Amino acid sequence: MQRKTFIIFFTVVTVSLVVSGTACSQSVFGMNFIGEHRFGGNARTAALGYSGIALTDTSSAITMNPASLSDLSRVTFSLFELLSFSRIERTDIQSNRTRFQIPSAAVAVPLHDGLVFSLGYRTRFAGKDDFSIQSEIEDLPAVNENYKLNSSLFSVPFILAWKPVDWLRVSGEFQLERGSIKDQVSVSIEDPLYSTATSSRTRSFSSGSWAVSMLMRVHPRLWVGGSYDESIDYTVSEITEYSLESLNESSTWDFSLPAAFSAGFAAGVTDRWWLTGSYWERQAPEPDGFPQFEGALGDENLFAVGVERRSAAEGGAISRIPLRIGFYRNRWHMEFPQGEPVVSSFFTVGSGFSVPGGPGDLDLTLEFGKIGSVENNKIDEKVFRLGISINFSEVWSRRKIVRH
Amino acid sequence: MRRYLIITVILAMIAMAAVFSCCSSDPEGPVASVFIEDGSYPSDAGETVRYVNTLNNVTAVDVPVGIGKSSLLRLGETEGIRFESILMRFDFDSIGNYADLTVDSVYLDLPVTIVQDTLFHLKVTFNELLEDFSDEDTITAIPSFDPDPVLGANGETVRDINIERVRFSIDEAMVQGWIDGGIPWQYGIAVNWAEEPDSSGLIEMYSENYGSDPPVLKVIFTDESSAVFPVVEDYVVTSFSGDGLDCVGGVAMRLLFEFGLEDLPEDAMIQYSALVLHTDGGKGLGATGGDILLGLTSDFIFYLYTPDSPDIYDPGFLEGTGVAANLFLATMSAEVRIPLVGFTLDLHAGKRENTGLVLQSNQENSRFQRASFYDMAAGDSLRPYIEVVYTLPADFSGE
Repeated sequence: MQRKTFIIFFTVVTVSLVVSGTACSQSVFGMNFIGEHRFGGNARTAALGYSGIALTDTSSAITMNPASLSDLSRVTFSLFELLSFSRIERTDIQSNRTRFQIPSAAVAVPLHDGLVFSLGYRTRFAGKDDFSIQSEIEDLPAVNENYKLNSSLFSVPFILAWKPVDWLRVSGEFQLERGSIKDQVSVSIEDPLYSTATSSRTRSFSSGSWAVSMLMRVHPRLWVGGSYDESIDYTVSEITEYSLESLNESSTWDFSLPAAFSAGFAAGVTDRWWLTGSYWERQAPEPDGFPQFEGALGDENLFAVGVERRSAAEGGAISRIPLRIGFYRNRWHMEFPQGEPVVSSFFTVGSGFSVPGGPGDLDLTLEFGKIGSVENNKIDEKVFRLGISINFSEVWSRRKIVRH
Repeated sequence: MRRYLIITVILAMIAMAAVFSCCSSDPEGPVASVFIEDGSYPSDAGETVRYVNTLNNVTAVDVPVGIGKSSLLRLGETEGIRFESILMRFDFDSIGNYADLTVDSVYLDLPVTIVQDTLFHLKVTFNELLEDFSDEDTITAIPSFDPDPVLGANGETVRDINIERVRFSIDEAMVQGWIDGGIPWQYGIAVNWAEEPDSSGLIEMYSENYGSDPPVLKVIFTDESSAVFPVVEDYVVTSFSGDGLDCVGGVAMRLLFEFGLEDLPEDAMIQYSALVLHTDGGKGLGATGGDILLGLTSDFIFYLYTPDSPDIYDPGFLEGTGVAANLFLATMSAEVRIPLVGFTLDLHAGKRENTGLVLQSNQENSRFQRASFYDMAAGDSLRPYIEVVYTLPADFSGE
């Protein structure tokens, strides 16, 4: 019954994700370049400001450090969903937006004690925008320029995590890199007699990449972790289509994201109170295919710190739930305008509780922050994010066949 | 099981919240446009342009057309359309039944239904036709006739038709000759204008095609018996005397519009195109009084096509590929826009040879109508032109 129920549940969840996955929430800045970078992890690590590269995790299949998957002893399915509410401001105008992103999902299957295989999905970069600009032309009804962007570069990681000794976890990961950036511009005129002139450009990205990570216990209260993602060399197939079909064209070109690395620590001040810190960096990519960013792409980095008060086995209700706070500062690759990097700064807070009825938990995170600044970037976005991750797991065993 | 139920409900709530929340964003154009202005966002809509082509030439082409099966016969002139002659042929097959009778009086009875102006009158003569005609033919000139008019009872030759006078006497001696073995009007008669009328006007009467009450020649004998010889074939010979840019049905006059679209950029994405004309309602004819009595409307139904041949003397000029058909009121001064839809797209894409456009009345074989347009000499606001609205391709280069 358990396996059947698991499969039914997995199907329901997948359908739910497909339904909800028709849009992605990202910062308005994500409409540029290859989109907003989404860091890996779950609601727990998000609540710690994405500082959990050195965190051990025994309940989630979505982690910042895949090496920690080797601690899973049950088949585990995890989801992480992030909803975003923001107010975008320029000096004189503002706009509210409410969006969400395609959830990250992963399933991890223990193959042997300390050896875990995992498969999942996560969005690396995403952008979505849909807006109109109206113009007036003499002797014509109002002309609307409708812009639509939908971009998502995602990764399907195949991970093998191993715990060779009690103090060390390592992982190797092959990532199938796919995605597309679609820009569409349609010019419509407010009169049904006028047809709409449409131009669209679709860039399909495909690649594969490798990554390795490690998690090491230096001391019972001190863990260090790190990861290395090799460069992603995308092959980009670009198709440009117009209402006037004779103008259609296609091309293929290459785009590379340089290798990235991260390193961090988790230090236990007491049994329950832990400090975490992470640093992530990737050098500036070449602006191949993005000539508008010639000289306007810099190194991206993430500096994150967090504090976690872990749940206690005893005590009152407050003591039994974990509390987490964090802060992170993310400098984007993109500079807007040239020479002015786009920087995100967020405070995070979160908690979690066990799912009733069995192994598994539900974590929540709230993020409050700002992306860009009117002073430096002409535009900023004040963001509130709500993240929810769900983990559940159970032991899978071979069914015994009893013959009578 | 409870665990899965709870998690499923939570996920469903998240999914629903996400689906509904994505619809709640404010319009972002004004704020996001900063990236377009700065060139950071690579998409930039192409320029939208309203292009006006004032045409190379417009020619009114006279196409031989006649209406032989009309329910109405007309005499007179209205809006430049001249109804110059009515041809009538009678059924004299029964005349042998009246041998030995003596003719007392003879009348040509015309079933006039309406006169455009009650004061309008027209002087006409009745002339015997010397050659045959058929209402199946296209007749643009009056067939040959005896120049000496048919005499009236009192020897009169010129008759005055008006609203009160629709019955005209015929010389009894001539008809008595037919009774006595002579040959009656073999090809019929033509009712011709005796002179130009003082003013334009129209006299309309039912034709034999109407189905009842046709024109008849009525003979009254001295024994007070009578004989009626109905018209079995009739026709109105018509011409058009307008000198402007006119599209006329029933006569007929078509308009050829010649133009070139070489000025359009090759990468123009055409969103709209139209032939724009301006009617001079004062010269238009939608429906005559007789038409309205028959229940016809004043709508001028047009047909626009691109001819197979641009040569107006080539039979291919008279037919081609349809571009548009619609209607407008020819009696009202207004702008008439005829969308060219796919025609301009095909032309621009080189899929079609530019042989121009021809405008005709779509009822030129059944209705007398006139649509008068301002010509190329009119001001910019009234002259005919072709309007094309296009947008250039978006620029995704980000440069």
